[in-house]
Amino acid sequence: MTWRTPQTEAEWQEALSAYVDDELPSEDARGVEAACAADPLRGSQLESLRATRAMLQAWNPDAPSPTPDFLAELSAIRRSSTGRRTRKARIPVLRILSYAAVALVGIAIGAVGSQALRVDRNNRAAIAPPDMVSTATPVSVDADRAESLMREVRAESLKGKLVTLMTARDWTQASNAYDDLVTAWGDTDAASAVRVDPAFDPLRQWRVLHRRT
Amino acid sequence: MEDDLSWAVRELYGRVYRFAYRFVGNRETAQDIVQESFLRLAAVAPGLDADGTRRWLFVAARNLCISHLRRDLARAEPSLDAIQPADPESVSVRKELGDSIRGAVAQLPPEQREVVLLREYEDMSYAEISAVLGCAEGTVKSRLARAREHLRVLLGPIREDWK
Repeated sequence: MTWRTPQTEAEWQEALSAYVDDELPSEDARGVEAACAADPLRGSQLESLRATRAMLQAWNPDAPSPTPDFLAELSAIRRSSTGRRTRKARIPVLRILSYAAVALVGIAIGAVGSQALRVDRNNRAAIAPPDMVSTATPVSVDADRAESLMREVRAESLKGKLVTLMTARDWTQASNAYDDLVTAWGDTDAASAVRVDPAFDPLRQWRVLHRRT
Repeated sequence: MEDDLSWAVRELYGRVYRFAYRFVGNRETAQDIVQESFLRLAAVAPGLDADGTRRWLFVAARNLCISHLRRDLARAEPSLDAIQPADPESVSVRKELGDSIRGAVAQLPPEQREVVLLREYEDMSYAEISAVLGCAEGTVKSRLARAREHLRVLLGPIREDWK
């Protein structure tokens, strides 16, 4: 890459910022160094940038230790996740259906009533009747959890659509689906998975090329 | 032998907490976010390598922070007015400076705030930040430059005293 002197203030800010991060090619870095040595304004900007960065390091808030309750919950999930993960890997549809089945419990709270469900109103929780869940232990779902599970189901559905569109190489529609997933369902596991899964790299590259970022 | 999740809690719990706290400016919310991020990791993405775990956790925490900001913008983004004035008799200079920085960071738009936090406090490269945020490296570069310019202006008055 050939060093080209930045033409606007915004370009200068980007160049100086990337320089202090050591993210410039060596030729560009030398160009910035020469410009800062020759121009007091740029030199002052660079010094100010470094001082601001140094100040930021002074903000180092204390972090609490994990609570015993949290660690116990984490351990419980870890113990149960191995088998579930195996099933997910083989038959992902079952994972979605399992989410949907549990989420239906939350919906059923309002739809079925006390004849079908035993509702603990004090705890805002419902216990599914035995024939709705195949496991031996009852499943408790409060309203917030039911809503969260429904979000996961919908996001999984959109993720499936995204894969289909990518397979069909319909990049425009796939990109729109990606935007929907990240914007509307950004806090879901499906959106998180899409962000880190290398399988979606071709779509991300297409978006970069078409300035869809 | 220590497993992957225990390693992640030991090495990354505090870092993800600080990221969330710096992002949303509220300790209780930050604690909820870091716990939810780890619980999701355990449920959905166990078995990743160290880099993958770190990236996954920051993606999850970042998304939860954004969701929180959308739900409760007023509570999550304290203005400089909301920062308690420091009492020089009882508060250390470091605490006072921390409050000023917290107030300045809170004034950044979320898309600038997240790149600053990942770069300055997590020491992520532009490529790593790009992977976490799902945007191009050029976008990271420009957002970071704008964020730093905002911070330079916001922190200017106290920077001279701090030197």
